[in-house]
Amino acid sequence: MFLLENLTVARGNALMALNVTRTLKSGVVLLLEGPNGSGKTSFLRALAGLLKPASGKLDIPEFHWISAISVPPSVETPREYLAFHAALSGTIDTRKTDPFGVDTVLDTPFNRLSTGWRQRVKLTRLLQSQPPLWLLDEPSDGLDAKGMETLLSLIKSHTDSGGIAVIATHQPQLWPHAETMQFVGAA
Amino acid sequence: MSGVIFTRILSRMTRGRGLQMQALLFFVLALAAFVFGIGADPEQLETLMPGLVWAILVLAGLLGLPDLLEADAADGTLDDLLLSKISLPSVMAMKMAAHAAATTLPAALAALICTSAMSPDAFKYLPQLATGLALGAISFSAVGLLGAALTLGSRRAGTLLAVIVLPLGVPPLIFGAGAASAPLLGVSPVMPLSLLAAFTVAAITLAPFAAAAIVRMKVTTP
Amino acid sequence: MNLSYFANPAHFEKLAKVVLPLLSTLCIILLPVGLVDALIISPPDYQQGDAVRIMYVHVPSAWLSMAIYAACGIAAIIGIVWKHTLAELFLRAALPVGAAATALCLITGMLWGKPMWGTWWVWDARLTSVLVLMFIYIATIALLDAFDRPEQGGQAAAWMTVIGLVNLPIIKYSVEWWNTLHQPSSLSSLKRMMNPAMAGDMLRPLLVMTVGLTCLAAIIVILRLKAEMLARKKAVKGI
Repeated sequence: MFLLENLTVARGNALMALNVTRTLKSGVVLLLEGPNGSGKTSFLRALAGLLKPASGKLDIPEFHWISAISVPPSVETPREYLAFHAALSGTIDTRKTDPFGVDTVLDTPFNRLSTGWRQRVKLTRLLQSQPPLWLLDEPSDGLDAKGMETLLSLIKSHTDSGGIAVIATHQPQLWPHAETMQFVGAA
Repeated sequence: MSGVIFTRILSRMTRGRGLQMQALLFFVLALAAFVFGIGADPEQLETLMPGLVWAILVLAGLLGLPDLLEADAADGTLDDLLLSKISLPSVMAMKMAAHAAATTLPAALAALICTSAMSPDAFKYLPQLATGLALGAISFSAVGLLGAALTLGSRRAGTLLAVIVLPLGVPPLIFGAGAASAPLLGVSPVMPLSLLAAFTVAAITLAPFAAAAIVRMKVTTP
Repeated sequence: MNLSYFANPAHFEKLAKVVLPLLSTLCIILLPVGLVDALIISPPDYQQGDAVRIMYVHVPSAWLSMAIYAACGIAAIIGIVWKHTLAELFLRAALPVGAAATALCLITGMLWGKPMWGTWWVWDARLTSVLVLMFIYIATIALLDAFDRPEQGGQAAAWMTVIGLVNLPIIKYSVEWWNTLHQPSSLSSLKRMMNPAMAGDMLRPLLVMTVGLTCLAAIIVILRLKAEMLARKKAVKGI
């Protein structure tokens, strides 16, 4: 469970969210909805501590942060990428399952992988450790139907075991039972 | 764990671009350009050599700076580094070390080889020369890290970097070139070398903290 | 009442209303008096003749180049630690004035150098330090406008100012060391001019000019600061 108290988020001179007070109980999916540029990403970044809120308090547990920026098509391999991200969260890559099927491409450099596959590698980071909170920015971007299904079941098993997911998305229909928060655009 | 992170920082800087090779090549080409400009008179070259070598080393330090932090900012890696378990100053120290390993130290190596090849007396002073160049290389990377942090997210980072880094690099340039030309003037290089060492130590201790504060402010300020 | 009292724009306005007329009065009296004294009344130097009169602009501008940088350094530290917007606006207002003073110092130095040394430019330790100070001013000012959002430029410039503040004494020391290494001092006459034991007839116009030009610089900085505050207010309201 975590708590937002009177949280106000601004970006530049634009107000993105005003006085948000909200408690999120475990097992909940919170969707951030709204048009482009309405502040979903800014709000998510504020939750992650990557953007200083204009005012208010937030009490956030450990989390996974998956941004909307796709992995660049460099000469790096998924194996190196995953090892690096495991090291950043202070562990080594001890992932036991491979729902996205990335084990088959571990040594194929990113510049030879499609956008969808690079997205799958990025989402595989979610399996490297088990923090209670997931902050996901457009996680379904570039995924095919099967990848989408995997993502949904992954999020479901996370929330079923008491985890919380906050997702900025343009596809709210994927989570019909989720709590939502609407962003209306620059106020 | 930090080993994995440092390896990735270094390989992202160099791989596919051969930055070390570029730095070596830049050094040799720039030196040749200066010699073509000055003329081939060996006596004149010998007196000018220490200064030339150090001036080119400062310029070589500018290589690799535009991408040092900007590439990470562009693909979101910088956010991940900010959120990671290791502290941001340590990350910045790794960046500084990676820049030294990829550009300034290779350029310093080229400087050492060129000086030894072109000056008959250089072998006598090889230890002092090598120490000075290594210290200088590291301090130019420290100053470069500050420049990269200050210009992160700016519109015309390239020129701006040179304008910021070159004045800040004046003290190591003066002490380093002073130490290198000391034998020619018949004085001991110990004093300029120790001044250079002092500057280097101060720079590599302070620069990562300053760069971390600047980067954190840039990323998190709304 | 502490420093942050004046960080409030309304309080600053009140302060400016009192200080500006005061400074202007001082300026109107001191500058003409100082100029007449410096250019006509004060005696020519027995060695340099009338060329010495350049000093009455050169030395005050040298003082201003450093004093304004020091003021910017203090503002930058305040801006970084307490995140006052006013500190950032002060940098915007004052840095170009400091750069102008530094440029004036360099130009008058060159004009003075021509009759004294026979060339416009000599790599004298003092001139070289001022040249590096000019570079640092240019770098800091370039940072101010290098970003899409002015606040970011202000913060970057604040950090650059502090880094410069730490580095400037080291640069000054290194340049002096470099200068003695490469050329033995030939500037005893210049050194004598900087001597506090200077003749009273010369010291008087120098002091008057220094105070007068400092008042002028302060007036320009305050006016620029007011303009920056208005521009920022407009930008915030515009959205």
